[in-house]
Amino acid sequence: MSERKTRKASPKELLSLFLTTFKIGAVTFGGGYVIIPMLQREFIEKHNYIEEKDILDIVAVSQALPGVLSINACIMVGYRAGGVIGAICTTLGVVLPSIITLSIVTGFYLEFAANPYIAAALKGIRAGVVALMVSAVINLGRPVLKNWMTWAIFLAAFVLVFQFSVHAILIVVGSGVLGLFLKMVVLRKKEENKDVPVD
Amino acid sequence: MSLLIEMMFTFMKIGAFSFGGGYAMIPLFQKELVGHGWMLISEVADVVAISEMTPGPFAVNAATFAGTKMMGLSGALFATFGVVLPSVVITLIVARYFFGFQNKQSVQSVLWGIRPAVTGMIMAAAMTIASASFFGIQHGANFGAIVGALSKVDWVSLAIAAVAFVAMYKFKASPVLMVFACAGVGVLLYALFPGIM
Repeated sequence: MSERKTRKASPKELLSLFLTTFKIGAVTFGGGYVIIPMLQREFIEKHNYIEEKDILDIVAVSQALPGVLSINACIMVGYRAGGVIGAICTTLGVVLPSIITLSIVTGFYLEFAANPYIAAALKGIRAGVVALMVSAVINLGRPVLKNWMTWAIFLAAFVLVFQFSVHAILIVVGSGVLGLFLKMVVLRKKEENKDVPVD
Repeated sequence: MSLLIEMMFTFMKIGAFSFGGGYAMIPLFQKELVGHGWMLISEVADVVAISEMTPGPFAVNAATFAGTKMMGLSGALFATFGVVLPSVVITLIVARYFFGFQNKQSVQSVLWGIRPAVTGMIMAAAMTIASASFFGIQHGANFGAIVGALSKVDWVSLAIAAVAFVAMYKFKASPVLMVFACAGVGVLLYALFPGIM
């Protein structure tokens, strides 16, 4: 077990975990992957609670577990940043805005849905979310896509999911097995041929 | 009280047995909630529509909607607690071990394959949202559908996205502020030129 498995968070940090995910929960329209750019910006660039590569690992694990992807991801980020209490803070933070909004909107959702100003605001938000997601792909991809093999995996996953609607769990499991095979068998063989000791 | 408990357990079941989250959960919601007589099929469709208009994950929105409708605020809290609890327990257990094993060599090899794939899946999510935003493709987005809808391109959305991208990528604007700014631009454009929005 590595030493930096979790951090001990001070009450002030726990409050900041809660407030950060509350803020994210309040503006994440569309759910699912849309939360990733938010987590990346808030938790890596601003607060430095977790590392860049952690985000992709957290998404992979969240995707493979039952339940809601965005909540699972917040649980893992919270755990990484502040242990079990940290995870509880981030979960409450990301869920509360939904509860507040929905318990208000449920009473008059037909009027809400028909309001043209809300429709216009949502149209603007959706366009902004596209920009958000594309810049997340660039930021997260930069440290990962370093050779043709990783580029091939990236493109294959993109096409399989977007064009052929392959289930995300299959992609996670498939790319994991492929990674193990390529790294452990193919690349190791290459190194053995060059008489480089492999540990 | 017993209805509250029953609701909580039903939502726990939904939370524990749905993989992938989001709209992949709709069939399970429909089966359980319509089956219990707590929601009509048409209301499930309404929740999907409301989820697209309100922040937060579909599962939490659906749980809060059904809970509020049945039992008011306490219903909303019990249902939401139920749908989230399995995630919290399972993910915490996995997180505990995952961050310990993350740096092992075999795990690193697995992650070496998974990381680019996850980046590709995020790209796919971006393309799906772009298909809806720029070309009005609400269901079944793929390259064929985009080519078919090229003539219907929504230049206003495309322009908002382009400006937002430059603001975020070049000038490091905060994503949270971006969402508010884009909502404001949408409302302003509608107020000035109702025809284009």
